[in-house]
Amino acid sequence: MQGYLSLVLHAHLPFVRHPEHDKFLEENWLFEAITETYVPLIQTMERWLRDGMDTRLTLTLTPTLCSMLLDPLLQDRYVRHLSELIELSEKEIHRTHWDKPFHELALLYHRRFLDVRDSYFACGRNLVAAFRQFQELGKLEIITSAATHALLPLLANHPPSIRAQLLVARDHYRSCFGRDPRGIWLPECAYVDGADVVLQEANIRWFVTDTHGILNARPRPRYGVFAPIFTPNGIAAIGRDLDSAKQVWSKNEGYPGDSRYRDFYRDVGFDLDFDYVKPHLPAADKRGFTGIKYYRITGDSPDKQVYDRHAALEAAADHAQHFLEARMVQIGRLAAILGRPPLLLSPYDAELFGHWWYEGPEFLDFFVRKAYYDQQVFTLVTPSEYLESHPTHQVATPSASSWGEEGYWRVWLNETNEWIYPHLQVAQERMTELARRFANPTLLQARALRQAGRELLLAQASDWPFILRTGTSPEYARKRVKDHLLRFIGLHDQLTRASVDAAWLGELESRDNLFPEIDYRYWA
Amino acid sequence: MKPIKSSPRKKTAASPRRAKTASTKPKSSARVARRKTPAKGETAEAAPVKEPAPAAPRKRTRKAIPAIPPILLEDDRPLAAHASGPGQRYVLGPTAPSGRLEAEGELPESYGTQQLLLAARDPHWLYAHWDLTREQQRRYNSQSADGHLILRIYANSLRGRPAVEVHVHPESRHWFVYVNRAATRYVSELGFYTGNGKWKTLSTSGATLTPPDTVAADTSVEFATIPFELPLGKLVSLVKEAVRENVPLAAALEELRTHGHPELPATKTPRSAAAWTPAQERALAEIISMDRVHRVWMGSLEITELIRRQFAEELVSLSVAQQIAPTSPPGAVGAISSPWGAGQPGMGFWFNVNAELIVYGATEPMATVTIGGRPIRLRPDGSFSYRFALPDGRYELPVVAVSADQTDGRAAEMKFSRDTEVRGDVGASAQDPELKAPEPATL
Repeated sequence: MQGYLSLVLHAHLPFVRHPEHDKFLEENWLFEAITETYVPLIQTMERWLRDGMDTRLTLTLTPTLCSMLLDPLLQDRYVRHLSELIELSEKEIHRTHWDKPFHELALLYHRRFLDVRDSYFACGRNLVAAFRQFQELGKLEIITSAATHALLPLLANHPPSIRAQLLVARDHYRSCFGRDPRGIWLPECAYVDGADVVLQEANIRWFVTDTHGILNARPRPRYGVFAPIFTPNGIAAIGRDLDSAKQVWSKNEGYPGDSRYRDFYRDVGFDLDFDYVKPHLPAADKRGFTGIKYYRITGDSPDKQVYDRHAALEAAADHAQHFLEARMVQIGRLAAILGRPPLLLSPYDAELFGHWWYEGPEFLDFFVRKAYYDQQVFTLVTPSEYLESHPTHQVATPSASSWGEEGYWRVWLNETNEWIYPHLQVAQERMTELARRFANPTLLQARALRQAGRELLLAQASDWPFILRTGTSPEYARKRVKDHLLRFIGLHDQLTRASVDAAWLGELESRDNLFPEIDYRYWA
Repeated sequence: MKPIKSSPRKKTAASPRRAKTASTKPKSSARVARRKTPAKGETAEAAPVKEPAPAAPRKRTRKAIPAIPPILLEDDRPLAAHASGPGQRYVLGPTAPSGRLEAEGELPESYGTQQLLLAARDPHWLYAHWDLTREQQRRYNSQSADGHLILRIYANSLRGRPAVEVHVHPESRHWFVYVNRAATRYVSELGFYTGNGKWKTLSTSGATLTPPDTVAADTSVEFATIPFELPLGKLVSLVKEAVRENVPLAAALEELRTHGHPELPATKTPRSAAAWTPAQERALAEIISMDRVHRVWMGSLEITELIRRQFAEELVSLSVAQQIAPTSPPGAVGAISSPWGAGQPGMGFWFNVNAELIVYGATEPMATVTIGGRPIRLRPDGSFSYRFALPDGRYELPVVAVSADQTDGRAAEMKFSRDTEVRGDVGASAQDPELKAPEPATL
């Protein structure tokens, strides 16, 4: 073997849970990802296991995502959502009775949805436990992220906030997986000086940065991104490999744009008679995505052709072969130059595989099988496994960076979302004051302090400024920031000026119910 | 995953942004001329978020035809047992708010702490915010000889000449400031010049560090061995016991090793380290360089953004096409290039027609019914209604019902044919003519 490859998938969704409404559109983000990405990934890993393959994959399951996957209310709602989808696919089987290509696809969707339901119930609706099993078998390394996916560099002026984001995440990981996380996905790969001090406290041994986080490190890393560096505090920073990123992500060169793959936008939710699809839409009063899509990307022509599953799978196999050969060439070449086995780290958003790129799970399956059976150039590893066998690395301070547009934090701090930060600043300082002031709180005060911590963490999520910047659901994002900050302000007022309103607190606890064991002293 | 879906819910009006906000233009000079009044155009309100237009009322001509049996107008979805009542199951949450958490009011305009927040957002831009109430701001503006406040940015510390001095708008409470130096510590102060030309400081910020934007000149190499199996906490306490505090772990471990701590494996400098040559350096630089990084900004944002933008571009061309094809029904996308692509760009008038068949009936609720050999779901009252796409051709459709106890049965053989002749360019898309494209902003 001449080198190593680490595939890292980052699965994250913001905490969206609205018990106060019977059906809530944004909860569909979770439901779609379960159906299209998380369950197919589990099924793929199960097949590897069944076939006796000793595979390695690394997966972030962010604390907010784990919280939602474990939440009974959202589990119930997902089952309802999936039942509705199965029902629609049944109707589609009938509707396409005399239209063979569509009929075959309707059958395919129906079968896949039933498979997803089987898998979901087979793990007791607990996907966190399903992933955990693969970790315990040594096939998967599950890593954590900041508690609510806050962009750490924008918390740099309040170190207790960075500490709370990371230690709450560490604690939550323990409760989910029965051990400490060894690696972390810094939200948006955003590293800032000082984060490694808290990582050291949390005994988190490695994190991922974007390429320039390593290339621009001080002093200059000798091996580029092809070996980790140790921060001065002893945490390994591993940079993203560009070539493998480009082949998957790039608009022009990337695999997901192949004309044989399924078109994401052409969905029966938009195509079919409104009354017919209405009961199956994410929101009853507006067309939206259902998940049943019959066309392939086709090309520039507006006339989309019917999706050909067989051809799409061939494309996925072709791309997996291409990806494999490219990595073999790359690793062989690097090994010759470096004089040591290179480590390539290829991180992707997990939801690319299946949700955006429908054939992504099959691509991954083909690639891992080919890498396992068909080549001797590189070994698939998890970063922790690599660091166990390679504990010596250059010491350098990574460059503050992110994998967002232009490489820093412009996406999360601009004219559309800057208004958030002054409020956060005040709330963060108040949280620290509260944590210091209430050394011996009453039970009710302790509950209020914990809830204040939850509300602050939720307000800090990077998802809200991101959505405000992209303009995708700005009103929802604005409301979420506002609601959490106002709840924090209310709790702060009650703790400092009056007595805690137990009924109101109870309502907050039932809504923003993540991190039940949160330790507010982290802010002290 | 990046949530990029729209919210189709009714949206409350956006609360107007209060602070007049702006970005400075990049400034090359170290110090902006004193007493410069804010330039026109430097302040720009953030573009208001465009709300999706409300959907036009649906006109379902089908309902106007009296001859169609009422069952055809029903939803053909079997009623679910746990539906909470007619029309309730799909009520969207936000239209039915509950609890007192919904009336949570607005965030305070400011807190009046007078604090100055400074944060680097990339190697050359800083964000500054000052937390003043309107009253505080009015008072300080009136004390200022310029009628407004001034933000000073310093490299390293608040000494010497400011790197940048920005005259901010009287109403502004934040500013994006261009700075020349990456990898530099910046601090700032907010204040004004009094009538006698004396500087008055209102508040000073903490420091912020602009990230580096180039590779380091320092090519010194130092290796460390951090044993993965030893918890960092243990290593740190070891270091604290034996070495002085506040020494970075990697350096402290090396120091400990030289003092012969047996529990620490010795650092084995990679063989390649000693023999690292300029040729290797060059060969590696050909493979990876910051130039290439700049061409591949691809992250979580990019993929969703690319898809979104690509889609938005299509919709822009769509709206252009609509403008040049005024005969198209408002909102219809059929005549233009779109992801649903029913027609051709710039065609003008267009027409799509297709046919679906509805097979409906009823039997005993516990009976088994198959249509075309495939079992169907009955509604709780035993009725059913299924749609069939009907392309041109001749078709047979057996519909069979068998009683729950399997002792009785009925069957119907239905035959259909469709033969379509078209004049002119007629599309066959099955899509609803009232289909609206999702707006780019809501994808």
